[in-house]
Amino acid sequence: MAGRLLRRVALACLGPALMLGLGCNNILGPSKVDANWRSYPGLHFMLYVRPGSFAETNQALLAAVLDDQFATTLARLEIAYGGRISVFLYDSAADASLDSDRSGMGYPDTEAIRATCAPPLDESLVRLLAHESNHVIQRNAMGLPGTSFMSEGLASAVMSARFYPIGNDRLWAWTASRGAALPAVSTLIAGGAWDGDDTTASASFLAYLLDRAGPAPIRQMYQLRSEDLPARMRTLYGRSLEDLERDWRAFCGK
Amino acid sequence: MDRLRAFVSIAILLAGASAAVAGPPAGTMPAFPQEAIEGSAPSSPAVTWRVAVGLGTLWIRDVASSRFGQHVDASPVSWEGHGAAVAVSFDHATPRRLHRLEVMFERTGDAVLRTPIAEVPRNAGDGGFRLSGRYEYRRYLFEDLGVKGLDIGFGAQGGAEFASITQHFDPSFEQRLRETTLAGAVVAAARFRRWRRVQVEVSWVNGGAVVRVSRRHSAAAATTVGHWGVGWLTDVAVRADVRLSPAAAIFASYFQTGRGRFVTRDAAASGRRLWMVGVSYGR
Repeated sequence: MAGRLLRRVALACLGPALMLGLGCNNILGPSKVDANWRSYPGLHFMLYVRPGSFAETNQALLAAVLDDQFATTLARLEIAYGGRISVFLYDSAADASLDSDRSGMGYPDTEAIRATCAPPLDESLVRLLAHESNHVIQRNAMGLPGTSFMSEGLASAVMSARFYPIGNDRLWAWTASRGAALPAVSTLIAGGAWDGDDTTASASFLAYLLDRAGPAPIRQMYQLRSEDLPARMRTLYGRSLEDLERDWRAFCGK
Repeated sequence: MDRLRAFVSIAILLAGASAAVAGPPAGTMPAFPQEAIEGSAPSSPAVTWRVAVGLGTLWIRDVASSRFGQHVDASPVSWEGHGAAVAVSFDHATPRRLHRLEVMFERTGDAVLRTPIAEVPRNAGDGGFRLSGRYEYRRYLFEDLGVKGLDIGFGAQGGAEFASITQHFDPSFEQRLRETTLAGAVVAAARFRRWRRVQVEVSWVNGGAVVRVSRRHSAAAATTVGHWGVGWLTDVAVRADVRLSPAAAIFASYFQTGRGRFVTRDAAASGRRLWMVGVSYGR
């Protein structure tokens, strides 16, 4: 009698247990987001911070830095965007399920950012938050980027230097310091394996183009795929990609 | 609240219509064939048509990157729309086999952005629709398994979907996303036919998909960006049928799905929940 009852109970539990524990979506699907957040509304951002965290202590400064970056991005690219971006500032890489304490992700469709916000509040943290917020702004105001070169590069090419020295001067100094180790722009446009140096090199080249001819050509190239970019550059700038790259390297080397 | 009222009204309407189809009140005629009352489980009609209406919720979380075997790194915020759905299905069944065809149309609007602690209403124009069709073959391999009336079956499912979602971003950007999906999946199902008038069916579906996504953004109206990708799905469906006559029944169902797609620069995870009521007629 007890064995029969046990078998019935086991059978009754088996189905729900399988559904809850297994299945494609349980393995591949997104994690749930906990509700342990405090929100701080800003002009263009809603900051979500862990109670009592480093991010909460510095939320006023972070909001000012991000609002300044927001205005800088719109001005440099001459675009309009009125969205309010939700910024989730996690305590650590483990808390955010990200790779390091200086990692982040931008989610344009839901106007959100996930980033680690571990001390200290320095250039690298500000650059990270500015880069991710630029992803959201640029994709929602300019459409889907056609290349990693444009997506990652442009997000770092319009940094504000008002609070921290992360603007164009820093990009050009970095470019000059890399010398022959700089990847060719054609390689960056082609994409493939991508790392932090590729992002900075792309940003430096795009910042140079912005400085030289303004944002209109960049906006026209933003959605183009790799194979179409060099020809459009020649049309828009009147010079070949190789010539533009030579000019850029010479400019940064001065 | 209006939607809830409409849902209840439609449910009552459907119940009334079903009772009319069934003829005399259920108590005045045998609810099931004689062997069903005397034997183990009632047999279903060979051919059954079902029509259902309901309310549903769709959520989407965009994905920035992912690693196989780990949870997808999706946005902490979800775009969530609410709407209505209508479905028509056709079953051809024997006691052990089932062929099912289903067509469903869903409309989604009333969108919000849902964060873990708040929700923000979206532009009134945010919304979309989905048209889907699927075929399923199922075979019940185990009858009266452990419990009288409990049958366990397995099967395969194939389907196609077309979905369109439109989002708006201030000040006046419009982004339209269109998604065409071809999916194949395996099905595990259980039905419980212990009672004379009530049958409960649960199915659990897991599979993969080939996905084509195209995006058009108003800032680049001349360009529609399209990519192929792959995806997955996990569906859970529960349906309870209440037989009013040998041929007619009313039913209520709950459907939940979790899906995802990996497409170049355009990955996302989504889910839907649907509560439906309907009538069935079999012969």
